[in-house]
Amino acid sequence: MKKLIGYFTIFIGFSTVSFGQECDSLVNICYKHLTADSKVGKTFISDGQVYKAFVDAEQSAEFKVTFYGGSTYRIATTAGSKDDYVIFNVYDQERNLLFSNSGHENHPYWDFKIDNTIDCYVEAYLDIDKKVSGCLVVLIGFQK
Amino acid sequence: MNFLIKLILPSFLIFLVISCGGDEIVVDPVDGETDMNIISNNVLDSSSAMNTAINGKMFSIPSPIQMATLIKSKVGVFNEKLLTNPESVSNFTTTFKRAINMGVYGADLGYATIYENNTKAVSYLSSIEKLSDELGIAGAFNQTLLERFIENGNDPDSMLVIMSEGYREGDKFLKDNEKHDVATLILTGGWIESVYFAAVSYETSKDQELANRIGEQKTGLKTIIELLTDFNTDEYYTNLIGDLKTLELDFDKIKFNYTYVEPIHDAKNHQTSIKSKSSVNIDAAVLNSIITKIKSIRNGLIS
Repeated sequence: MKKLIGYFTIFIGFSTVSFGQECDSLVNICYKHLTADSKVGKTFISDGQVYKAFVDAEQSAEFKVTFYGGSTYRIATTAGSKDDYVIFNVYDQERNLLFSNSGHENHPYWDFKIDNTIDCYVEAYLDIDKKVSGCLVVLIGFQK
Repeated sequence: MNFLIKLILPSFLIFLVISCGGDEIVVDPVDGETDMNIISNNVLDSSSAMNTAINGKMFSIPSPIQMATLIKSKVGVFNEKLLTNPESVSNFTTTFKRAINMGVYGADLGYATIYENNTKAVSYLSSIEKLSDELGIAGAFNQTLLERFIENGNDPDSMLVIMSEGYREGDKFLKDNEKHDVATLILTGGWIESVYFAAVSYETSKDQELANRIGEQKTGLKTIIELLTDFNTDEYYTNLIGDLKTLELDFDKIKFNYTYVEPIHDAKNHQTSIKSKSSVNIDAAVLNSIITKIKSIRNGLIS
């Protein structure tokens, strides 16, 4: 019986570590999207924050962000091994939809050139046709 | 029974671990059927410590680097008097002070880097390394990062990328380990220092764009107050929250105008131009009050 409990403990440990590592590796994948165009002179500096959530089919993650006028930002997302798992929408403060990557094959990152300072809501969720549950990561970068 | 324990059970457990694949339930894109990588209920539990947010809000605070970039474009001369003393690390003996001043030093590091004062920048990075060690996030700002920072001394953009990597790693570590309060304090310190930069720079330059940028901090301030209030169960942050709420009274007097304009999408370059119009209208007395208050809050935190 002790052995049984031991095996069970090992299993739970493996599952937990595996999930944590998966989330960790997603941050690294997402960062690659943020820096994808560095070699062609488009350097995006991370805002130093990691936005992540564990979501299922019914859930979304959302945060409010201020984009300064005269700046260009990149929003990068990931939720797994394929690039198109995440749908993200950007709304203005009046909830007008400014952008959705769903019309662009769920492209994992997109740049936003901001004319005037604006408060936006960024909403991210899994494309349930492709993945129904998992860790979702968003990073934001800006060009200096 | 022995046979069950020694052979079948381990095989079954290994199968489960492999098939879990971490966390995914992936839908097969070809036949539309769910490729069931089984997921344990404890992982799906919304109260699990691994979850950062479920159907709730996540929060974003503007980066101090952007404020420093604007200031350099308006006030070309490096102003050392704006910055804190990087040698004060030993004065910070509580988690609150260490975390707040790690944020403050981060803003100072960004300012020094943007003005290409590498000697000053390295001294801040060394102090940040010590503070991060004391806060238990030594992996974020380690010797390797410091060396990379120094090696890229002739490339400010690379230096900013490296420093933001350190803060991003620290943020991830703190959130992974449920230390959201410490992560919030670091962001708060950086935000306060960057608004302080703008306030003092406005006093000398009277530049309207700097005044507007101060006004545009209203959302950031509201977010910080909400976050600190959420984490104030032990009432360690009551005084700071009180000071920030007093500051918020001034921000509430600022008038903002916003008009939605259709954005322009450039699918080829994966870019959208946000054309909406906005403006800030700050009364001079309100601005002066904000400047006085932010200086007082900042000077209290770094002492």
